[in-house]
Order: sequence, then structure tokens, then C-alpha cells
Amino acid sequence: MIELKNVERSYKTGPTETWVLRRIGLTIKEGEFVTVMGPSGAGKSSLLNVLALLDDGWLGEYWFGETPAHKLNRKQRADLARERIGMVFQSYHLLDDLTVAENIDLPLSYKNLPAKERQGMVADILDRFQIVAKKDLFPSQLSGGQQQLVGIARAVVHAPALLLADEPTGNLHSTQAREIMNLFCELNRAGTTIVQVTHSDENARYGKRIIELRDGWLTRDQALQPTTVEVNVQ
Amino acid sequence: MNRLLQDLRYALRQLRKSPGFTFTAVAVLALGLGANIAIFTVLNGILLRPLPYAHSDRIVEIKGTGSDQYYMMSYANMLQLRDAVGARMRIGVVMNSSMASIVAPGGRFQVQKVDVTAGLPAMLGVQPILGRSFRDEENDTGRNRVVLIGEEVWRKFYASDPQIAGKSLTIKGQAFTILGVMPRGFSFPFDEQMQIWSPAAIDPASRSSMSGKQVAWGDLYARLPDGMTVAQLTDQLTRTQAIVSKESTDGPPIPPRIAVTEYQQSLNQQVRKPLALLYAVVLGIWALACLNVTSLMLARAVSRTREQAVRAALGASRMRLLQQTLVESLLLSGIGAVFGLLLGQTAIKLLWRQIQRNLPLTNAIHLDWRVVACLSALTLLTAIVVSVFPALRAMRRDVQGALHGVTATASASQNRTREALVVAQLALTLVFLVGAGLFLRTIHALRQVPLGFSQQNVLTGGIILNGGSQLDDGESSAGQPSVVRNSYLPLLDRLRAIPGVQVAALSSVLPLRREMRVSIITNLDHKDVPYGKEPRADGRLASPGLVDALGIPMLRGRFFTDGDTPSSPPVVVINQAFANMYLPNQDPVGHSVSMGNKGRFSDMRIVGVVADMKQWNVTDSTKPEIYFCLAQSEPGTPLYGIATAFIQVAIRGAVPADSLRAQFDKALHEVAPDATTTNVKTIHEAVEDSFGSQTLIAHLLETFAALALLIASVGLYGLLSFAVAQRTREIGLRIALGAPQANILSLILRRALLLVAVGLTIGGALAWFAVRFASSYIYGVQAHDALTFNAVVLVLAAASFLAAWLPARRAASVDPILALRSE
Repeated sequence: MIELKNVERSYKTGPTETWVLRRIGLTIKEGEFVTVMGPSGAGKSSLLNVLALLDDGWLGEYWFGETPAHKLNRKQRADLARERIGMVFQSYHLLDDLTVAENIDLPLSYKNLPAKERQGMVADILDRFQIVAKKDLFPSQLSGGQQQLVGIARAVVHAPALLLADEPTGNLHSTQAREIMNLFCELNRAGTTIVQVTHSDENARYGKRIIELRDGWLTRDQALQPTTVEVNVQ
Repeated sequence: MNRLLQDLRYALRQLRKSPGFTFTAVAVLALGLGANIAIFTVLNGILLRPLPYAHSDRIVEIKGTGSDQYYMMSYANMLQLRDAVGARMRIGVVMNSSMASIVAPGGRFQVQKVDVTAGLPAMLGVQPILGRSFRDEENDTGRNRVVLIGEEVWRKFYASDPQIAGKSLTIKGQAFTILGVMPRGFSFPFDEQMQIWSPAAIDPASRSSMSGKQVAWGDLYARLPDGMTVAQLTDQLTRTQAIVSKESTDGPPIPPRIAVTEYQQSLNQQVRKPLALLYAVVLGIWALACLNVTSLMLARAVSRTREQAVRAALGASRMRLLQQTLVESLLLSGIGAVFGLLLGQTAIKLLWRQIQRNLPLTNAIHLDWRVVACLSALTLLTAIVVSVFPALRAMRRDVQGALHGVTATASASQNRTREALVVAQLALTLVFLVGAGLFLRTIHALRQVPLGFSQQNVLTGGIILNGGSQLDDGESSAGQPSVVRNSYLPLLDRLRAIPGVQVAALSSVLPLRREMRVSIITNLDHKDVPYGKEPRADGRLASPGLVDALGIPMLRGRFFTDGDTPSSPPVVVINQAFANMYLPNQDPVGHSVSMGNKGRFSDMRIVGVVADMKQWNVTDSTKPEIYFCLAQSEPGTPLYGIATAFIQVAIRGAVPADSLRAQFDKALHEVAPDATTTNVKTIHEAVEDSFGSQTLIAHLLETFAALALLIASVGLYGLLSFAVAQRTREIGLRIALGAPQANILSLILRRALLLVAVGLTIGGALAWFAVRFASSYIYGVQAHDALTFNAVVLVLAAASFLAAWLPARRAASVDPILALRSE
């Protein structure tokens, strides 16, 4: 589904050039659950930003399915990201002045969809995530876990092919974190390709493959041995 | 549409959530838009709104001109001009215009009665809404006792009676038949007074007489022939007039040239420049408001960086983010516009008296589609202007940085932008303050000019008797009953009997009331003087007591007394200017003044010299004047005609002058029931009104300058408050490391000082150039007056210091523990 060839990213500060990604070559198949790990400053978030098509400053080749993202202009990349990619953030990044339902509707409002269709999609997701009762609440009225749940709902409401998660449980306690990771498994089983960035080994075990970055280099790429994992879906 | 509604709902929610920001932004925009709309409403009524005639831009006024002299034009002359152009040019003539007192079912009222040629309404392209217009034959003598009444007269005094046509109306003792009612808003000559129109009596001889007693005079108006411009008509008429003036050798001088002016232009010519200046000022206020709100919006955009980044990460395109910003600006601007409109219309109501007194065409000043269109356009422009910088910021694609909190604070360039906006506000404010300062000093200087008379507790007013003794044009007064004996002297007795009245006097002209001016040529001591070198002076009729009523010093001799009667030797009093010019280094008392070679007025004695006083304008030097005794003015004497037309009263009281109005009116109508009054006001009001539009402009500039100062101060305060909030952690750290309070204060104040210094420098330079546009309106002070500039700089610096002090104090009070914990 995704193929990166010799992807590089650097930042210039004065006369100095700092490389955050160096000759990254990576293939992610459809339906995979990939974990990206590494120490701070390794380039994990930078890699995620490239995959999310949020960053334009990289070099190399990026194939999203059959589409050469490296040949697209800014607008075309944004259109592709809007259609095919969903993103979950560590800090949830819900808009405080929108209700739960409105936050979930936000990415849909940027597509050319009729209002009724959007309402239907939001209703489905609220039901699926069992947060119908909370649809009119504001983020400040929810717990951290509930906010992240809404963040995930928002990321998958438009049924993206690829879900990217940047430290999705970084601000949650362990029980909430387990619930979120089980949800990711459920989504992955339903066919969504997931790439997560995490420091947590426990979270990494929910995935099927680990990629390790150090100083911008891809140093490890190995499949995880399958383990039996209790999945409690609420 | 759905997206628009969504953005609107969100914008409303955001504004409700930030009441402080919303209130400030709306208030500032309301002030900026309100000032603009108020002045535009006035400007629209006076300059833009067409007069209530068909194709009013084609109506012209035609006057005779010569070398710096005003000529009256005879009716016969006008017909010759009309004939030269032919039937293509329709004309209308106003032969006479005077105030009349009328009794109607709804009460007694004063109207302006206008005597016109029958074709005038047709020339203007206006038909009555009820009844019929004039017929040509109704200009014949004996057939002209018909009137058309104005819609306001019909509505207020005849209760909009649909059967009004055919009813009778008595004017100055004569019965007129009402033919019909003119449309609402119709007025000609354009005026605020209620009007009625009647065909002038023009006898056949007047249609061809260019001289002699049969001459009829008037003011000529015409509709430009199709396809002809003003310049072309002027050329054609001037060529015709050159022939006419050569052919007429006797009688009064015929104007050699013709001037044609668009009628509306002739009405508003003098106020075009002051209104343009005022509109430039309010555009500046609007710009200031936009700068201020832009600065607020920019600060707000910084605090919403994360939100914008999330939206972009979720798929919002640049245009969508821009739309969201624009919708919020439009909402703010729209709310500001609504309040601004209310403010503006309220301001007009509060200043209405001054507007009416100083500006023409004020009955056309009200809200109409042009004003609404201007407000709508300005609201849209405001929304675009205040959202430019925030929108550019929203469209920036540093999404990842914003999501990770890297750009959650304002960048250096954003801070520089906001600082530049505040500097611009300070600079503009200084310009307004300088303008206001200069006008304030002008009014002060005008008020310091020695007037030569006292302003305390003096009520004045004009009187038109409207009785049967009033002369018609050309009629000889000899043998007529004396209005002086029958009306004026009894009126004086009644006025003097009013409790609280100290002195009452009558005069044909009172200072600074500008209703009449009579120039006369006299002879001094029966000397032969070459033609053109005779003593010339402004002539006035006056009763005894005038000098006491107005507090005018007598320099020599005496003023008129009750002993000066029609049978006593005729006497005159002159002013100092006359004495200096025509009797220098002599005692004028005892010298003789003559008007004509025969009769009592051929040998009059100078009995006194009064001090000079300002008559027409406080800034003009006093002209030579001669006072004639009212009691000695009899039918058949030279100035008696003035007495029959118009006289003015001056009443000095021991009580406030205003309280004498009702009693003056009562006393007048006891003596002359048909009399009408004009411009009854205190002499102080007459003085203030004589300053003309300078007072109005001064008051407006004071208000605008105060507004500008408030807006700029708020802008500076907001900028520094934001800077303090941004630097809370840094300030907390400095305090934790031992920085004293004074150090923190100076950290903030130094920045403020720099901004203010730059703003004052730029503003000073701008003001230096800008004042030249106002130089023709100021008096008693130089345009580049150092005192004004310095005072303004001090005021602005003081206000800026206050605006900076509060945030600086707040910075010095930061709790370092809280500040460092919040990171």
C-alpha cells in the first residue's frame, strides 16, 4: 500500500543542516499494523508527518498505492490525505468549542458531501464507538480516554485506508491505554492499515511489525511473533 | 451554503466565548463605521442626493455678471435670453420671496411665499399631487390670486384634506384660491421653510421694459436643452447678452455677461471643501479602527494556532481556512455596522441644530439607499481589511509545528506586524489631535475678537409686519400711513413695559445677524466731490436705546433720543470707521451729511460717534456706518422703504434673554397681528452662528480626535498586554532569578516608549503636511503652530504612558511560581 524509497528530510538552521530522516526505504502492505519506535529525536514523528502528507520538505519517492505522492503538488497531496488518511494525535487535538458530534463531523465537512450523508456517517461512528450519549458534550466534559476515543472516531469516520497514530496513549493511564489499543486491533482486523508511533513496548505488542529509527536511519524492521492477545471490545 | 452557515455558527460561538475581545472589536468598529456613516449621511443629503425635480442635474441658475459685481436681471432681459435659445430651453423665474403669516384650520403659521412665473413647475418637471398647476394666463395682473401649497402645509395645517383644491386662503389681507398640493419633499427655491407658490403679477409692459418703473426683477432658472452642456449654454447666452447690454443705454446697468451654474452646485458650492475635509477625517478614523481591530484579530489568531493546524491536518484547504476567518470578520464587522449606524444617526440628531444653522440643503439629510449601500460596502471592506493578516496567518502551512506547540506563540515577524499597526494608530491619532487643536484655538481666537458690543442677556429677532402698509415694488410711500408711528413706536412701548426688560430698541441691521445690508452714497458738508469719490457707508435705521441695548460705547456726542422727532432737525450718528475715513483729525459732531439735494434729508447733522463693532463677520474689519433716526423716517423719506420691509429688535433684560421670547411674540402680535418673526435668538447665539461651519467642524474634530485617542490607547494597551501574556514564563524566570520590580517595569515600558516615539515622529511629519488642507479654515493661529503641536505630543504621550503602565504593572506582579509551573 505504501512504499518509501530513499526518503530524506533535513532542516536548515543558518549554515547547519540537520538530517531527521536518512534514506528511508519502507514498504507497508495493506492491512498491516506497524509500530515505529526509537529514542527521542530519532525521526519517528517526522516519518509519520511524511506518511500523513503533512510535510512537504522531504526528498525521495513516496508511493501511496499506485499514486506517486512525490510527484503531486501541495493541493493534490492535501486532497489525497483528506480522502485516504486519518490521524490520531497524542494530545487528542479536539476543538474545545465543538461538541463531540461536531468534532467527528469536522473532516467530513471538508469534503463535498451532502449534509444528510454526513449526519448519517457521524451517527454510525457514534453508535459504533458507543458514545451516542456523549455527542452533545464538549471535550472539556470528557475524560482523557474518552477524548482520545473521540479523536480516533474522528480519524476513522471517513473510512480511511491508512490510520496514523502519534503516541495515541501518551497522555492516558494504563487502563485507558489498553482500551485504545484494543480498539486499534479491532480496526486493523476490519481492514484498516495502522502505523503507530510509540515509546511503549506494551503498545508495540499490539502490532505485527516493528520499525526502529535511530538518528534518522531505519535500523530495524522485523515482524513480531504472533501472540495471543485478549481483546475486550466494549 | 451549509458550510457558510456552519462557519457562521462557529464564529458566533467563538465571539460569545470571548466577550472582552468581541466587545472591544465591536465597539471600535462601531465608532469607526458610525463616524463615517454620520458624515456620509450629511454629505449624501447635501452633495449627492438629487433635488426633488425631474432630472435635477439639468436645472441651472442663470445670473448676470460683470467685473466683480452682482447684477440684477430684468424680466424683459430674461425673455430675450430665452428667445435666443428658443423653445428648447424652458425657463422659470422667481420674482419675489417673502415670509407670510397665514391662519389655517390647523393654526397660525409662517410660510415662505414664492411668486413665480406660471411655467416654473413645468420647467422643474413636477406636477401637483392634488389639483392642477398654474396656467400661463395666471401671471396676468388680477388673475394671479391662486396658490399651490406645499405637502407639509397641507398635512400639518389642513389635515391632508382631499378636498383642499378650490378652498380659500388669506395672505396679507388678500384672498387666494388653493389650486393644489405639491409633492412631498418639493421645495423651490430649495429651502427648509414651509412654502407656498403663487403666480407673480407681470403686466404686459414688464415683459419688454429694461428700465423705468415698469421693470420687473427676478431670479432666472432654466432646464438645459437636450444635448447642451452648461458651458455651451453659457457661451450662447453670453453672446446674446453682449448684444442686449450694448443696445440698452439708459436705466440701471445691464450685466455684460452671463453665468450659468447647475442649481444644486450653486446651493452647496461653499460647503463642498469643508465636507470633503470632514469625510477625509472620518475615513482616517475608520482606518484607525481597522488597524486596531486587525491588531486584535492577529493576537487572537496566535491563540488559535493549534485549532487552525488541527483543521488543516483534518483536510481543511487554505481557502476553507480563509473563508472561516472572513466569516468571523464579516460577523464582527456586521455587528459593528449595526451599532455604528445607530451611533451615527444619534450623533446627527444631537448636532442637528448646528448642522441646520451652518449647512445648506439640510432637509435632504436623512437615511436613504445611498447611505445603506455605503454602509454595506464599508462593512464588507472592513471585514476584508481586518482579516487580511489573520487570514494570511491561517493559510500558513506549518501544520506539524503548530500541532506540536512549536508555534503556539507569536513569531517575531507577527509581533513586528502588530507593533507596526500600533505605531500607525498613534501616528494617525496625532494628526487628528493636531487638527482638533488648531480648530479649538481658532474658535478660541474668534471668541477673543473684541466685538464692540455686549453679549449678555440680549434677545434679538427680525420682524416683518405683513400689514397693508407694506409697500409693493415701485409703489411710492408718500401719503401712506407711517409704519414707524403706527407699529414700531407702539411696539417699543410694549416691549419696554415687559417685566425684566431694561432696554428695547429697533434697528434695520443688528450685528452679526447678516439679514440685510444697505449701502448708501452721501455728501459731507455739501462739498463737491468727483464721481466715485463720494463718502459711502452702510446705512442703518435705529431707534433711541440701541447703544444701551447692545452696550455700544459712545465716543463723542450722543445717540438718538425721544426728542428726535419728525419735526425736529434731522440727525445722524456715525461710527469711528466713518470718522477716520472721511473726517480724520476732526471732531465729526456738527458736520453735515446729505442724501439728495432736496427735503429734510439733504441737511442732517452728525450728533454722535459710536465705537466700531463687528457687523458682518468677526474677522472682517468694520466698514463706515451711518445711523439714521427711525422716528424721523417718514413716508417719502429715503430710507423709509427699508422700514416697511423689515426691522430687527434688540431687547436687553435683567433676566436671561431666552425667557423673553414668549413675551416678545405676544407684544408684537398685539401691535401687528399679521406680523411674522425671523431668527429669534440671543445675540450670543448670533455671534456663535456667525462663526459658521468652523464651530461645527471644531466640535466634530474634537470628538473624532478624542475617539482616535481612545482607540489608539486601547490598541497600545492590547499590544502590551498580549506581549506580557506571551512573556509570562520569561518574566517569571527573571523575577525568580532576582530581577527587581523596576527592572520588569522598564522592560515593558522601554518597548512602549520606542513605539510611541516612532508613532509620534511619523505622526508629526504627517500632521505637518496635512494641516495645509485646513489652513483656510483656521484663524488667529498658524497652521504649524508650535504650541499646538507640542501640546498634542504631550497629550498623546501621557495617554500612551497610561495605556502602557497597566500591563507593565501586571508584568511586575507576575508570580514566578505560577508562571514557571504553567509550562
